[in-house]
Amino acid sequence: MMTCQEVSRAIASDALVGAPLRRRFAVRMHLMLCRHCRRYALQIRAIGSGARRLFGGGDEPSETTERLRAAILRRQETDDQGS
Amino acid sequence: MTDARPTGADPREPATSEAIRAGDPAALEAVVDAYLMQVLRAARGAGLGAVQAEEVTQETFKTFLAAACRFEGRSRVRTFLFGILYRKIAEIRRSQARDRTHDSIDQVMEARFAVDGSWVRPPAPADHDLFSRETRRALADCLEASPPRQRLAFYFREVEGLSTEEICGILDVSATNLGVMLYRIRNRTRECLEARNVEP
Repeated sequence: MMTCQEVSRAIASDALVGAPLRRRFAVRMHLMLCRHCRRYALQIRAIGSGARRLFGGGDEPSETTERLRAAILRRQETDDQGS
Repeated sequence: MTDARPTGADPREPATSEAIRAGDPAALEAVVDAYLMQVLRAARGAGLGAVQAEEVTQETFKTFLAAACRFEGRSRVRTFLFGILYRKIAEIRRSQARDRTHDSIDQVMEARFAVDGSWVRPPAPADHDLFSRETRRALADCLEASPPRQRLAFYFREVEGLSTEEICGILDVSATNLGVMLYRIRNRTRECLEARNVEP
């Protein structure tokens, strides 16, 4: 039986991605029986989805990207002419 | 079934590596258009302010355009760009050496468990609205507490959804090292939210 510490480490370090079936099953069994680890797992997952809401939204002002794009490509043209 | 695509033409890429290497303006422009937003967001995700994120984004593409003639297409353009971005941010913060070995979150986590590995102090619940402005603010603040490299690792995994292999390529770390970084930033953030009585 895996301990809470081992389960929390496996969850937070993404150690279950591609892990042997037996290990993933052991974690799942532990989560079924342990409400503390269940809560921990939910909170770790919620931090990820919170970050996606925080940074992943498509609300970047287009003027920012337009300005940046123009600056990058302008520099490219100048460099081309200079070389 | 065999792959009928010609070698070198990756449908996920905005331009072929040959065109990028040749400095074809249309190809370079396509790369800028395809990845400008992603690089800018990653810079923000690494904890840079709006102005600094824009500067670093511009510098990243400047370096990319200057190095385009050496792009061999062994990695994806995105991996190449994110790698440049990471090095720019590391130059700014100079924090690379510090977050490799010692991290105070390790002791904090150690203290939460008994010798037998069970929780001494289990994760605390809190009754805050999951989507509230307050929670978002708290999450942004708590992520600030981690070094930029951990933030980028976390950002690439959670927001961009990149594979372990690609993140390891960008940050030049082993898979084990990446696991440690993710473990640390997630736990530090969780501890910080818990201390503020905010449910993530």
